Amino acid sequence: MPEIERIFRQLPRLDMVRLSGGEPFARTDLLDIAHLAQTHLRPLRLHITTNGFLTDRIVKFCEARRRDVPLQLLLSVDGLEAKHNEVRGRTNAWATATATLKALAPRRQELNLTLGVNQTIVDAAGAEQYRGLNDFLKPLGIRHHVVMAYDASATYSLQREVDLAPKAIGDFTTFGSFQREAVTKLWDEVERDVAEWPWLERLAKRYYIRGIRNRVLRGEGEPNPRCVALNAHLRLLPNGDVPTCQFNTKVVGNLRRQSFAEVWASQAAATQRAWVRQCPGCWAECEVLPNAIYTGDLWRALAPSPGRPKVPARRASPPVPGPAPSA
Amino acid sequence: MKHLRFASLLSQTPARRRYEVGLPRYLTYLVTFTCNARCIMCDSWKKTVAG
Repeated sequence: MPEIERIFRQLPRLDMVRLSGGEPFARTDLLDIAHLAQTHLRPLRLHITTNGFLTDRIVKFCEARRRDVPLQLLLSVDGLEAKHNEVRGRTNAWATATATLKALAPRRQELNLTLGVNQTIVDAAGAEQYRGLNDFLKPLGIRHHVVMAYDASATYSLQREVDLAPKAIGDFTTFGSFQREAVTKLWDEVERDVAEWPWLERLAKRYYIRGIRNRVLRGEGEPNPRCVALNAHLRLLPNGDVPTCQFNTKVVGNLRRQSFAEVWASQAAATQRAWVRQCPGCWAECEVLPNAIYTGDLWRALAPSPGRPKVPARRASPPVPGPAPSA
Repeated sequence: MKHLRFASLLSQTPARRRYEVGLPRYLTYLVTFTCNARCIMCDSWKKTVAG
């Protein structure tokens, strides 16, 4: 814990601190980490992604934490009971995650908490469960986010320091296989539901949907904001390593052994920033949204001007099979 | 305070678009690789080192 505090003390004030894992609540000292983050980094919002299995621990965390900073808690739920248990590899995954949702949903205001569910679509069967899961969440007033899984992630790869970034603009290889109609139907439904969201979140989600549709259905990379990895967006691994991004785990330094100033100004960081400039761009939401916000691309989406330069769109890997979409 | 932060965000946007190096404003901290799920699309739980 003193090491974490020493690292946080060196960082500037941040807009957002996102604690993730693995499963962050597997750490019994997560409350201490959150306190340190709130004290030293003073974020506008704290975000935690969890599978929601450890209901009692999560509820106690929400009760005990300092509530001066709003908490956004995002639970991963990938379908209804059987599907979710299959994807998460646990027979009690659904029971525990939904117990957490039901325990926290009525207490959101008291706990200064925003509760959401993130459904990772891994295959066609998962896409078919979107509506059922949405119907389950709606009475609880829980916002339902959807993302599509890439076939691979460098961050969670068993290989160390690996580059799995897309090799061409618009490249997006899905984890499972899909038919074009199923993907189209899924995003049509999500887009309809998103229409009821507050405007800023609606704007961000529509931005993501536009990019995922273009990539998965057409092999086109638009939008394609410039990347802020190793710039506005800092990633930190459990051992103190600072990787380049979600898809490239080349490490530029270690905040347990080096100061932040040393890592940030290092030749290794400069080399990887040069790599970032050349990267064709990914469409993982955890990278896309910081990119869109900090480069202003999200705001440009509000008022597209016919004269603004367009990101070159070119076909990369073959998009999902199926008949061509009707006009 | 929120307004000040938003103003600084806007003022830094052109530099971010030019890839000029600035300080981080957004932290993603993976606090552990340990996981009690066994997800089919993720190898985090197979990692031998928790962090």
